[in-house]
Amino acid sequence: MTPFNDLHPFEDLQQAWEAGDPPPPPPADLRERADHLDRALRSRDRREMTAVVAVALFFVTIGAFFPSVRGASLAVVGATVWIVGVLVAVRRAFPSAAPSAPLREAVAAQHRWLRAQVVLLRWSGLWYVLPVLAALLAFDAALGGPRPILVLAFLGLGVTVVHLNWKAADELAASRDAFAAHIHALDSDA
Amino acid sequence: MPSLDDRFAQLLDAHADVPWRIAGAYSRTAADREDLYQEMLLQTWRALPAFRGDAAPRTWLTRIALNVALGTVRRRDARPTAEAPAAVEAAPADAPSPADDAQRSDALARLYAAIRRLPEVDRALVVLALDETPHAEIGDALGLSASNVGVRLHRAKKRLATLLADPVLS
Repeated sequence: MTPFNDLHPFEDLQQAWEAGDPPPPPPADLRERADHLDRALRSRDRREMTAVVAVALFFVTIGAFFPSVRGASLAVVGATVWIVGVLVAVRRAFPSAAPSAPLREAVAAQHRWLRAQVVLLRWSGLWYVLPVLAALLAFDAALGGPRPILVLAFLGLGVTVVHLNWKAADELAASRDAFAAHIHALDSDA
Repeated sequence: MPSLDDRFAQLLDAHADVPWRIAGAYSRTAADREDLYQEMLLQTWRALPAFRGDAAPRTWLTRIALNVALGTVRRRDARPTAEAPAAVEAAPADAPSPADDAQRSDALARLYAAIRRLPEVDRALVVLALDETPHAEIGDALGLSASNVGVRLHRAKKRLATLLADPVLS
């Protein structure tokens, strides 16, 4: 193909474009795929809620039957509710754009969401690991601790979680930066 | 009132080329292109019940296709591939002769290859311009003013010309 210029205008490319593309394939069974996707999303929400309720019920029950660990149990429940609350608040604060939103709007929404996720992951040591760690240590103390081996295990777990979250944040940060570049491309040089 | 199936079928009958071409511009392989196209159709199907005709159907479909493309292209680009490039496909069956067919297929493959080397926002501009979409509609799909589209498109075309002149594409 000759590069377009004054002698070979853009219209030549349009002709090649119009004439040469093969027809699109027929759509897959979209109703089934859409239903499957909806079921997967509902199932994920149910699993998350079930896990929270199970943890809360377990520790409330423990606290009810064993007064010596009541405070620690409430701390675990409090930490769980706090974590879920943070996640729900972030999910609500950064909604996705409508699927048919103009590109600029959709890209901006996606960028805001990714930025929030990166911040959450980077600060997970503070809002996620620390409350859980404090609750677990309180529980250990209420059961006659602190036992150094458990404390070390909890700390090791916390460090691992923070490390994994930082790695996840690094990956998301690349996508966040790509979307920031899209916004810059859409907003600048015109 | 037509059913959702009917509305979807009508939409695709008239405008299936829009997501198909956008998928071609944002995919590295033929399989990726088909996957991306099906994902665009899936999102269209899910969004269709809320479509009240506040935009032209073609513009509405373009927005969905572009949003899906830009939302998934980064994930796809991170994936290794050993497949053939997306545009190296058979030309339509009604092509005049095998020689013309091959030439056209080659020309289109080079055009797609050049488009895929453009920045992602420029790809959208060029694909829509190749489809002879009016500037106002491009602006509507991208969230830009029509005059803004003109300036950007001019630059994107220059970049495309440079890429098409690159012997690496030959």
